[in-house]
Amino acid sequence: MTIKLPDSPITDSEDAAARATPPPHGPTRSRCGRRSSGPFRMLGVPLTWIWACFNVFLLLWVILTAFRNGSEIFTDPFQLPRSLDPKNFTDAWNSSDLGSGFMNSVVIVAAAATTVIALSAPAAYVLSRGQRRSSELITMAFVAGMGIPMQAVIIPVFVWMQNISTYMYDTFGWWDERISLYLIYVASSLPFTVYLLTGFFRSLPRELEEAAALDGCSSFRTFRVVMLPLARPGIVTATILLVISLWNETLLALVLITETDKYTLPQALLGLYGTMQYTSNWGGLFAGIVIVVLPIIAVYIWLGRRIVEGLTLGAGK
Amino acid sequence: MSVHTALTRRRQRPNHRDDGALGRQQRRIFLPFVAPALLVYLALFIAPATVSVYVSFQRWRGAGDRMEPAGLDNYRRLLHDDVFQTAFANTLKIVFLCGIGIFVLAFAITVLLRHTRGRKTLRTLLFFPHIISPIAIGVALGLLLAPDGFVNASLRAVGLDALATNWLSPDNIFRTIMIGIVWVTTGFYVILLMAGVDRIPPYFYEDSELAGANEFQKFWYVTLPLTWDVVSVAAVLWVINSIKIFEFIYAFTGTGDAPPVSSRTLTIQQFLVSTGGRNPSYELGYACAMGVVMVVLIVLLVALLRRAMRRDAIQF
Repeated sequence: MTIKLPDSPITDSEDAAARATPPPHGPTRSRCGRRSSGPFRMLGVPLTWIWACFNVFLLLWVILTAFRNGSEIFTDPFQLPRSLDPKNFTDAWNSSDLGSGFMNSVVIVAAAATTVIALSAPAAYVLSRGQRRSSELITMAFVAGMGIPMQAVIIPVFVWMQNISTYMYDTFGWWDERISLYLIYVASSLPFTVYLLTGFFRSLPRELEEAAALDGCSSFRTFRVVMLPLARPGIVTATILLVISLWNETLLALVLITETDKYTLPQALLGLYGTMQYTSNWGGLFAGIVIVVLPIIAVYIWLGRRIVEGLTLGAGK
Repeated sequence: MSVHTALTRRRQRPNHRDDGALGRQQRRIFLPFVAPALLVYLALFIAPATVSVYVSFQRWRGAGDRMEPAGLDNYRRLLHDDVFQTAFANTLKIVFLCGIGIFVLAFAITVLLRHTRGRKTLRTLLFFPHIISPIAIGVALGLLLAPDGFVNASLRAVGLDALATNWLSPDNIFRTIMIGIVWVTTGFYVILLMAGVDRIPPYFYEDSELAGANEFQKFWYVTLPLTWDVVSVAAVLWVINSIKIFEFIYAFTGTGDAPPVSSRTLTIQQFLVSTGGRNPSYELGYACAMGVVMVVLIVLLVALLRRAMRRDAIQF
């Protein structure tokens, strides 16, 4: 069954922005009044608002509790914090591994995200422009990687990284498991990033490359001077999605990193959770949650639209 | 559109020596541009995945231990391992029960929000738990739902003592986890479906309204058929992502030394038989067999889903 309609206002364009903008409300507005009388809407809209409010409430609850005194949290759950003394934050930052965890996470995530983009952007460019069968095959190989769970990769990776570190210790007297983690982050992030960027490069007009070639630009220069700047929105989106997913990644860190001073942030939070059950300094734990969550919330408030567009772009094709 | 088709056709032409300087140039940069990414991907992702399949037929405790061929022993053991079977069933419960819950809710919300004021705000607020560290959410929910936590205290305060239960007891924990997963994930699928629904030209709805269609009929005859391709992609994504869920459950079950069997999924169980837990047991061959089972499960479910959801594309 194929319905073909002429002149649809939004054709199947590659432009994510066009998809993300809602259809014009103008002509339908007038009928809203009648529509809202249905029981489905009468019940559904408030329920959706309650859901959204619950999300906000949970976030506020965590932030407020982070300013409270540890033991009160369970004896008097409804009390608001008495002061905005950041003692819990400084304690959590200094006495547990959260401070070093934060730095570790920042460095590993930044290094891995940069490397992934540096590897993926050129690959995605030639794959999207590829005129050979091999480029289709390679694209497929990357896409297939999105369906392979880390659990099917992790055991050999764990043993290899153990071997590498033993070898490096024996030969050079030095190795850092954070490097192992960085390597695996890069490899495991490639499929999605290549896929996302290939889609993005494909949407860029080919005429520009032809024009650049006519002007005597080499292909490499065309890529660097013409295509890369054009692809910047796509690259920014890919970077944000990478940073968010790597910031939250915990399984690989748990498997590969054993020394507490090398823990990533979520790992350090888990460690803090473990000790809190004995010390019951719950305020410190809540401060820890805030430290993990706040950077991502900030990024979301700052670049939320980009994140939403990137996700629909990545999944919509 | 016609330019696009022309380009696609040109891209697919098999042999072409006549595409001029541009084509020659691009062939020259093909290898140096693709090779680094491809090599890293093959060496650090595909190679270990392949080795995993081999190790799943071995008995092995890791570096320093000699591998012994075990034939199908690891897989046979899976069939008789009660804990594994609970984990397998739990993973399937997440895929299907949570999946149905998420898609029903996401569709309901998408349809509801089509003309609601503040739809973007709502969408933003529903979505944000999805990008927050699942460890942080798991820990926060664990404290919220603790026996004397905020939720139970609130229920008691308003006189609903009967509803205040131990949400995290071994009997209840998996149900709580499933609700948590639906809560965290629905916003993401709202965004995907909404992007699909927004592409539907409004005159379809106007037309069906003139014909006297009610909300459900509009959903069934307009929204669903016209977003079918988005729904099928979203469903595939859900299958892949739901089988991988690890952090959320791990944080929920405390520090993960010995989470109750009733809360374990394939990911948790594999972690516990390999490097996780207080005293890791390093049964690497057995863990690899679990990894292989997960891949097979994903491939199988995705293939079934694609077949079940195959329809002719509707162009509009």
